Amino acid sequence: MELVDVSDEKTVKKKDRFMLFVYISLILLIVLGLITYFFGYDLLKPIIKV
Amino acid sequence: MKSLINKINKEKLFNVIIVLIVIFLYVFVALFIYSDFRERKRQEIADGIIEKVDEQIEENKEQENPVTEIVTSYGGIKYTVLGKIRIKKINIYQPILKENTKSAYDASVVKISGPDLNTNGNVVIGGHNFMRGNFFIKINRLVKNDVVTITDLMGQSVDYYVYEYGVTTIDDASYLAQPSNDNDKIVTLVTCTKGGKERYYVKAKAK
Repeated sequence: MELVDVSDEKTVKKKDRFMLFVYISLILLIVLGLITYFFGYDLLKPIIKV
Repeated sequence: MKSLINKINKEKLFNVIIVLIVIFLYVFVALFIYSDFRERKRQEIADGIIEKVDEQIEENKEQENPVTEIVTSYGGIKYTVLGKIRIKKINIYQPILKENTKSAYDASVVKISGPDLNTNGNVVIGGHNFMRGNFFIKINRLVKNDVVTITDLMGQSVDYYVYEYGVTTIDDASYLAQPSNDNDKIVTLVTCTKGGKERYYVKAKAK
């Protein structure tokens, strides 16, 4: 039996864009997090309160 | 039609949940990094103070009137240092400060009461129970005959051996009491437990 996709093309594009946004956010989080953790201490030291 | 509306609502809900999870992850990572940086800075301050202690110990060896406390400052906050404490079993190596202030407790451990370090009597040292184990969160792992080493500014290091430990209420300050035997040298470590509702103390005596 053949499966027929009845989704609206606009809806599919919206979903794809949304998931792309989520993936980019997560990748950005990891990259920014690692950069900040390994290289950001000296920059942020003056504003950190013990 | 109804099922289509339901489907759209479920998808919207799903999308909102995903966005909230991403935001939560950003906040969690930011807090984790801030907490780590804060601990690194605190340890830098403590290491700097310990360096000053070691320098003063060397100077005191050559002086006729050695000093018993040194005043230093980091980030605009003044600290009066009396010596240092080392507990190898739980990886503590911190300066002992004199001020009973929030800034002092945030930077290191503090002498609460008692005579000068390494003299006869009960010296009570207090510390926070957080900050990733560099303070007194792990003193509940100390058992009998574990060693606490106190070094004063004369360079004298005395080993104290744990002989008693336990929990007490906020109102019970018996751990501050001086020993009945005047010749005993005792050090008492104390920290908060159960959200500050109780105190955990460890007593150690020099042989």
